[in-house]
Amino acid sequence: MFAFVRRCVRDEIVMTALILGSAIGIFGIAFGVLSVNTGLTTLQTQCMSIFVFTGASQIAAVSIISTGGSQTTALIAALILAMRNGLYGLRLIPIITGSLPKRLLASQLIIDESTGMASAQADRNDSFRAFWLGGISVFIFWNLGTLLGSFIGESVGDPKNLGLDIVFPVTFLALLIPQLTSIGRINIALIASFIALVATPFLPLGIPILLAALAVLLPVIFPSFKYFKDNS
Amino acid sequence: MLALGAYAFKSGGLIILNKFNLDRFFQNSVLLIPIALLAALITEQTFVIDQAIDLDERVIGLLIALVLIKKKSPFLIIILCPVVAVALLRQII
Repeated sequence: MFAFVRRCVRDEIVMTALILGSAIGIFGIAFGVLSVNTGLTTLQTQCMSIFVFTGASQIAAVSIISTGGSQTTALIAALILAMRNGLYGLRLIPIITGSLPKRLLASQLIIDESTGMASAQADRNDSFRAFWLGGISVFIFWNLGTLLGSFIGESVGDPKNLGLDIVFPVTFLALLIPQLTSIGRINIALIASFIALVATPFLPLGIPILLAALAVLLPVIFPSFKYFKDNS
Repeated sequence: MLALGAYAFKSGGLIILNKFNLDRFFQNSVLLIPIALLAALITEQTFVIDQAIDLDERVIGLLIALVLIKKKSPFLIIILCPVVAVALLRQII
């Protein structure tokens, strides 16, 4: 038992998955609180966390309804935010292998965190492990969090007071840096960041992030930068 | 509706597009997608509030994280230091 715990503590992928999961759990609580205060039942909130399982989309949908928006607006905004998971799926094709049912199950776990963890690993086996561990950990903590949040309702404070919102950009940065192995890749990150920043004031939530994906076309414009180890 | 739509995107990318034999350039571009999207997410979550650019204590948190990542600190430290810094700064300001 102790040997098992010690092995987990030393395992960077397991630790990342657990820490990320716990942070997500706290935001799950916040989401649960928001959701029941908007008028959804605990059951509805929980179904959303299990079946939608894309935090940003869920929060967007519920906030739009809570601020008086229509269900259609909420649906469209949430779907736009969910679109990037399709791009992640493309990236994960070589990593998530296995039978069709297994891949259909894996699909549900495709989110920012699991994709980020998978892409940050150097070899394919680690990527596979990072995807599943990250995805399952976030799934469990997010669902426990929303369940707890929908029970305790309003009595909880804003997680921002504890600085917890910084966990997400910091985690993404920790997942991004190991991937910036060439000047071409650094430029892609910078351009994506610039696109997002410029587009944000003009376009609805979610669209700037999708637009930023256009930065991957940089090799077309500047083929001379190095993007891959074999410079392809 | 949302659940079905969200799942359609997730599995659509992973499974349906897997059927097509995608050319090499496309495959390479796809490998770069998380870099672009992670960079955009970091930007939105650090420099933006309510669709407006807003530089606040989150920027300091991110800079602390950047230094710690470069120093190859353990993941727990990388996460905890910026959280504590941001929480303290919010108390002071």
